[in-house]
Amino acid sequence: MISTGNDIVVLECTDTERTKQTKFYSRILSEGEIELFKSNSFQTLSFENFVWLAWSVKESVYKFHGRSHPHTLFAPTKIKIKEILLPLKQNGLDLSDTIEGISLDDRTCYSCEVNFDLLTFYTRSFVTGKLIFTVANNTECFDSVHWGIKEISDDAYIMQSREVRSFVVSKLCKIFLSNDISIEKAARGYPVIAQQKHIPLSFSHHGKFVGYAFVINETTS
Amino acid sequence: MSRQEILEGLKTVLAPYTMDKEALNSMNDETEFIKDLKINSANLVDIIIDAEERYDIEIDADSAEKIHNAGSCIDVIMEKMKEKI
Repeated sequence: MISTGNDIVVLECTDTERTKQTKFYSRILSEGEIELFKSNSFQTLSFENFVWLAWSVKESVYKFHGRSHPHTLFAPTKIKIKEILLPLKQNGLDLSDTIEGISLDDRTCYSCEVNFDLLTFYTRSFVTGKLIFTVANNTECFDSVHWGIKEISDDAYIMQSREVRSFVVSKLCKIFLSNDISIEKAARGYPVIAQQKHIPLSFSHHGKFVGYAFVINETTS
Repeated sequence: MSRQEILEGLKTVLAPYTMDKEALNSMNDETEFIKDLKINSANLVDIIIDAEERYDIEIDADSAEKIHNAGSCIDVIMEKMKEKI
């Protein structure tokens, strides 16, 4: 089954001081992940950003897995990051405008291998001064993954929801060369393309940013 | 403390994390934090910590995992308050 999962964390919407407290981060990080942080040289990643990177990775994996296992409960410490590879170069994402792409390059992203529910998942994350954006997959190849990030003017839930749907529909219209693209919910509650029901969509929003991810390859198209 | 009293207290815990005050005021056992109250998932840990502080309890990871709506959250709070006695 084709699946997808993404997440976005806007750092100014998080409580930096609380994130650094054991009672907070111990609900997100496993012992192994705390050791992973200590043993790596994350010169460009503060501990609090590491915590939110881990959260974003776990939330994305949970969404990806949840499409086919809807009754799985979200328990962050049970989703275990086995390995984190740092980007070879700091990405220079210009968040003053909409950003979209196909594929996620491990040279510009944090790449994680994650174990959950006896399965292995892979994630790619952009970490900027403003936000962390993650997409999950069940293979190391992200070539068929479409993704997008957009800043919006209003952080009210209804606006986040409206903006992310309009953002992804606009992208899908370009891909399918059609103006007749809409979104509906699958029986299990996750969004799909109404005209291509086998293609699931993943939405995320936090503060004044929204993001999406979906997969289109030979199997889906 | 009655179930209804905890429900009312839980509304105070959740208030900083939802803009949907109407949904919060009409919250019942079936109300889901993310779907119905439109709370961002990134605040779920904050809510557990705030509930621990309000009721002077400790909610372990296994119990936190069971929380998916207001009713299950009240169940966990009541269970942890009983354990203190």
